[in-house]
Amino acid sequence: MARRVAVTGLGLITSIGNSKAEVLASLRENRTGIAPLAELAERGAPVSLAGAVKGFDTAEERQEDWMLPEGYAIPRELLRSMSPNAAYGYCAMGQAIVDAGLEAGEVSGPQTGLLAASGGSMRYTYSYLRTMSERGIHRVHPLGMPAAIAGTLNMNLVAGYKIKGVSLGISTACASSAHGCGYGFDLIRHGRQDIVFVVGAEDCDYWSIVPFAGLRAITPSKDPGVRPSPFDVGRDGFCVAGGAAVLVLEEMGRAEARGARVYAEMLGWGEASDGYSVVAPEPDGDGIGRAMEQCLRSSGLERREVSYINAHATGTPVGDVAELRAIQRVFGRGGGPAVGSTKALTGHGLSLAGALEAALSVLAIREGFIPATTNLREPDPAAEGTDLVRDVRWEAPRVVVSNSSGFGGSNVALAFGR
Amino acid sequence: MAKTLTDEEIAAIRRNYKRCDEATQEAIIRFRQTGDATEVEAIGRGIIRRYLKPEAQVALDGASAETPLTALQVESLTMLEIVLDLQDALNITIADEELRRFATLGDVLAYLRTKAGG
Repeated sequence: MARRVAVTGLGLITSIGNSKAEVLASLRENRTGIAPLAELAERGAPVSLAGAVKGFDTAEERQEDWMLPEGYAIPRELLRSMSPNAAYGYCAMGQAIVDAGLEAGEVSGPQTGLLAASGGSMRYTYSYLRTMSERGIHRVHPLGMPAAIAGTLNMNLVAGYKIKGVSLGISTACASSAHGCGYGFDLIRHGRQDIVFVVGAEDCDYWSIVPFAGLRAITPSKDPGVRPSPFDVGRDGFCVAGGAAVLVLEEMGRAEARGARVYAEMLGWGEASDGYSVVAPEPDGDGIGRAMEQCLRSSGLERREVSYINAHATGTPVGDVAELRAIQRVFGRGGGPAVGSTKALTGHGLSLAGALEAALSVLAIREGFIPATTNLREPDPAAEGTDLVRDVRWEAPRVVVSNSSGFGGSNVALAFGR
Repeated sequence: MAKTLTDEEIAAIRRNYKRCDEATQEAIIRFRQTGDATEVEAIGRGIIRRYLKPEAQVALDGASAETPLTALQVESLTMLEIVLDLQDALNITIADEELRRFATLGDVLAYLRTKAGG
């Protein structure tokens, strides 16, 4: 009999709240986490808005000088190898462990692993390489490089939480932490792990945001009441968000035996690639469409069983419509699931997005409502026949599919249900 | 080697060494202004102390020149952090080969006095 996978814990450090309670309140009240970011204006960036984390001050170069919200502390020996994304991840892990009610021996043991996704830190990369080239490597902090590279999140969290099982870092950009959920599911399904922490985290500052403006992917708007606006006919780009999201995936029998609270079951997942472009999706959403089909097959789901799709849709002209076409191909036009994008409220968390939206999907199931797609004033005509969630719906979705698509045309669809 | 420091330079020293005690910050400021190598022992002890765990700080306070560095429980990465701060405070470069020769606290302080004395 196949092992089943439960979601038993969540940790959230996000633009819409630093706890499950805060995040839920923001979703229920349709309260945006996006605002003008002072550093962007100060440095004369061509974009203004971001979904930054509140309550953390990581402006100082020396990590010991960072301010963390009350109740959080990171030992100096670990802090010194961190950039902000790893600090957010560390705090979110702490939350998730408490939320799941896991003991120390369950967190640190051969059957517990951690799959992490982060783009590393542009800011710390620039800082240590600049010091290295101007003053020599012996003037650079010895841990400057591990603090900055793409694996920094898994390195710091595996060391910091004494993870003894699987450790892995995933680099599929905006699909990364969704891949984390998928491969975490497989590890448990195949008996190689009993518990997997899936972590997505990103910095959120001038250095992490403005490169995307170079791609002309970010909205130039200054008004979070207007943009980002996934599926809206006037959409003109996304907003970058940072923070961390953690899911605790646990073998269902084990979770039930210890009386764990199960948010939802992870039913299965699918993945497929566009093989088309480095930065743009295949225009008909070929890859995300096949990822969704695979997800349904692997979950044993009929299309009509899916209540809600938490779309990838970031608010770009090209991306949103490609995904809509894929959804219409897989689920039909008319009578299909409700479709919404929480990126309108949270911003686009890049490597963090997959895990964050998986967390929001299981919260929707557990708490019994479907979050709104805010800023949706006039749906794109391409959405005709698709049921877009414009306002919060106070009905419990039974099965949710969460989509994530990343650079290179990497696509993942996850299914959760109760 | 008299050098007047600007207010900004003094503020930068206090900021960069704010986790060292005030006596150490003052010693660094005086050393930068006068080049007086007699300040080096206080600077060396003060910077090392800032990186030690409380138990090891007690050991440092009671340490003599002969005290082995191992008694201070400084692991290799922390040693590199100490070296970074010493280099900046005393405006010197400490090569890795030279680091390897340090066995006691006295070795470190004597080396720093020589290097900083010019």
